Amino acid sequence: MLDAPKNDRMKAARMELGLSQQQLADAVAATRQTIGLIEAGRYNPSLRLCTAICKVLGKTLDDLFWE
Amino acid sequence: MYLARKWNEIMGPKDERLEAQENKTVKASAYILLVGSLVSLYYGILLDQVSRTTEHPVLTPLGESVVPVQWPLTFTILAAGFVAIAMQIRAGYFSPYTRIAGVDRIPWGYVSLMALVCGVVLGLLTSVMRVLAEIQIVGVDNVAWLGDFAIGIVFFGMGFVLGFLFTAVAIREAINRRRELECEIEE
Repeated sequence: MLDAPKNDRMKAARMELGLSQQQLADAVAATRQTIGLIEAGRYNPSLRLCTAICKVLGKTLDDLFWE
Repeated sequence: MYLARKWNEIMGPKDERLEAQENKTVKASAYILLVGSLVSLYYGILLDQVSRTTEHPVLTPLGESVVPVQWPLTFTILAAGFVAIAMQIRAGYFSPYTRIAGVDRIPWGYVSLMALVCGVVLGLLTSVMRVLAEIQIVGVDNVAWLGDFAIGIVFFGMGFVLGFLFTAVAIREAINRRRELECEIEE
C-alpha cells in the first residue's frame, strides 16, 4: 500500500470509455478493489499492471502514471 | 506440479496486490511454524535429557504427568494456519485468484470443493497413518484393514463438514471486510 496523490487521470480515462471499475478489473486480471486503490493513490501497481491498464484505456504510461 | 498447474488453469489469473499480500501471509506463517517447531523440538530434547539424568523415563506412567511434545507442536501448526487466515480476512480476501477474490456472495461450489479436499486429505491421512502404526506395533498380519478404512470414512465426513463450515465462514468474513475497505476507499 502507498499513500500517494489520487490518480484522477486514470479515473477520467476509464470514465471516458464508459468502463466501470469492475469492467476494467476484469480486463486486466485484477480485482475491483485493486483498481479502486490505484485510483485512490493507495496502491502502487507493477509495471505489468500499469501497461495492461494503459492498453485497455488506450493511453500511454506517461499519460496515466507519470507525475 | 502438474496438479498445481492444472489448478491455476482452472482458477484463472491472480490479482497482483492480493498475491503480494498472500506472500506476506505465507512468510508470517512460515516464521511461526519454524520458531514453534524449533521450540517444540528443543522442549522434546530437554524433556528426554531431564528424564534420563533424573532417572525418570518418560515412556512410563511416571512420565504421563509431563506436557507431551505434540501439544506445543499442535499449537504451532494451528497458530500458523489461523494467523494466515486472519491476515487474509483482515486484508479482505480469501484467495488471490480474481475469480474468488471479487465475489459478492459465498461461492458454494468452491466451498464444496475445498471441503471435499479437506475431507479426502483427512480421511486418507487417518487411514494410512493408522495402518502404518499398526504395521509397526502389531505386525502386518494383524492390521485391521476394514476398521482403518471405516475410521478413514468417518474422518472424511468430519473433515468435509468442518472444511465446509470453516471455508464458508472465512469467505463471508472476507467479503464483509472487503466491503468495509471499499467504503473507506470511496470516502
